[in-house]
Amino acid sequence: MNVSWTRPRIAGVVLLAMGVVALIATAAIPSARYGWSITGPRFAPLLASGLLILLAAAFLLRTWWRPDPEFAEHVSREMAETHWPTPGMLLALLIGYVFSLELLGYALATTIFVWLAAWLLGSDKPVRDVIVGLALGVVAGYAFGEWLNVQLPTGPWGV
Amino acid sequence: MLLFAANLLDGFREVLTLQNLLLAGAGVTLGTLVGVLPGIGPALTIALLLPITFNFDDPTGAFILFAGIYAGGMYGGSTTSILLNTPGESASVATAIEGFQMARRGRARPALATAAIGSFVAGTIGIVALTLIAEPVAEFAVRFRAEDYFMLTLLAFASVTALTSRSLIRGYAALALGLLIGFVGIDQLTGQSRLTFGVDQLGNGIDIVIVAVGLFAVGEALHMASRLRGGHDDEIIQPDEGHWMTRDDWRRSWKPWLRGAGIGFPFGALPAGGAEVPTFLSYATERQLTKHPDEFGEGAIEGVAGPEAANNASFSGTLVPLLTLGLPTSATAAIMLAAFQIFNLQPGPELFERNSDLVWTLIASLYVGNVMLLLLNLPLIRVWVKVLEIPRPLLYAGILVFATLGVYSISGSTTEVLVMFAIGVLGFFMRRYDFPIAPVILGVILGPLMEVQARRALVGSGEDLGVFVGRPLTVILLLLAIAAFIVPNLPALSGWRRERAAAADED
Repeated sequence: MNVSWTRPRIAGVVLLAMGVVALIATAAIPSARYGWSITGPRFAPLLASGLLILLAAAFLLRTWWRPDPEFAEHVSREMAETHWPTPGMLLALLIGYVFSLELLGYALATTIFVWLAAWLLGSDKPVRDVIVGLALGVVAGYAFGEWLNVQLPTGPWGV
Repeated sequence: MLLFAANLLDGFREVLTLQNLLLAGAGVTLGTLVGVLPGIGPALTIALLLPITFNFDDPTGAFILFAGIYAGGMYGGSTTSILLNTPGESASVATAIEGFQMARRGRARPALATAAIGSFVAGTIGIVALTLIAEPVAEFAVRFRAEDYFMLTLLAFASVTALTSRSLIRGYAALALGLLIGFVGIDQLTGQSRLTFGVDQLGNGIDIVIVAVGLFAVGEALHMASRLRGGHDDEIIQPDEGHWMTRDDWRRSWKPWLRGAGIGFPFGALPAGGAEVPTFLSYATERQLTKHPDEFGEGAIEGVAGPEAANNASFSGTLVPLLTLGLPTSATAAIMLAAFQIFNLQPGPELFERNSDLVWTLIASLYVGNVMLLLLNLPLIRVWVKVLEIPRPLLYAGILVFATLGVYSISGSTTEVLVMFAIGVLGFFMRRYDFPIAPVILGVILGPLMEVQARRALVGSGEDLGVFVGRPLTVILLLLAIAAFIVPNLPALSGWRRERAAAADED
């Protein structure tokens, strides 16, 4: 069975890096009184980041030693089925949506987001999507303001 | 002995008010809705509703709503498994095996009926069992000290990770990630800020809502986005023709219902938890006992009746450790624990003493919700089929709107929403590399609790580690935790776990 282990190895390195970053952040926790003592604030994050580092190392090791071909197949199948630009654009759209909330007001930002997101995900009925988005934005904005006392951003035109 | 009956009666008096009945109705309807929709489950729904319930004056209403959603999610999940063959949750996988085959052979209605009625029967048995054992277990749990709670948490970590992961390395790595996310924020005992990387908004920690919504909603939406383009529309089988259940169907269903309930409840009630194991165990049992072995794999009604009953009974079982010990054994139960914490309630023995009305109202609402679900499911099956037909692009756009709204409304800041998206990206990659999600949720919610218990125990003993082996009860719990860690590694079982996880992954 000839399967690629490159991507699992990258994932393992990323996981390892997360563990190391967590360990460095743990060492930065101010703990003059307790130091690294088991009752101090550093001990639990130390254990968790240590565990993550060990497991990431084990994960990496297993891509060479006694590798699990099923896992590699699962990963390459996932990769083959993946269309990368779509989730990337969706994420960009989400970030744009959050920042546009205060700029455009909740209702308008939501309408535009639903329209674009549905189109990105393959919808071919823009009119329907805009109507649904508008309804969602207006109803949610009204419901939150009226019943839950959560004031959503209104933008320049008060909705 | 009669005390629980009086308590339960009080609970019913409380539930049978208009407001609480409406909440129970809303809960089970919403639960069925999200159970039917593939990709969103009860855990995500409850997480999204948490911010809304901040505004409830009385926590009882919120818990009636949540319990309804949890129970409804199970009923709805079976509909999707049978008609669409895409189980919404891993606990519905066993149902899908025979259920979808029945539907393909024109027997969708009997499959739906045996699932719904079986859920009702087993659910009721499970709730009766919960009613009977909750108080005694809580009384026993009074003896538990900090070190015992620490061991219980360890046990929950070991068993949930083993049950939800195909590889233990990936499972425990997911748990470690969850623990680290859980430790972000101000340390409860010393007030030092930890792992915040200098971001002020992280001082209060990363809310479980942010983690759950990020992993479930954003992670799932990104995952769908990566595949929709190569999209295939799944065929939905319309359950329009034929009888619901013939006399023969009844005759073949009632024993699996009872056996399923008998398997499901104890498994749910153990602090090892999860509905996956009992459903598969029930499926295997029915396959052994059936008089129609030739039908298995081609739509045997026993193979739907048993697992579906086990699934529902295990839900009532899950509430035992949750209510009496504060120990969640599924992602949904973990979110419910977060809900208790929001209302400053700590599930455990004290909950039964101090908030006894809340507990019994909640239990009474389960009886009511179960009846509602039966009435809601079969007669309205056409409505649920319509729900299944909501176009995916619009559905996921809507989920993302609610996810953003939910997090934005609790924090009022874009930072938290961006953290939620980042966790969503993490969830997206975890899906690709087959890391389980449930251990992350459990780590976030239980990690800080476990740490506080351990430090309390150690401070009490003068940093003497002997406190963890000091009393027989603690040692027994420690041994159980070690067993939960070792047993899944035994060669005989690891093969079985692989198979089960592979089946659970066929979506």
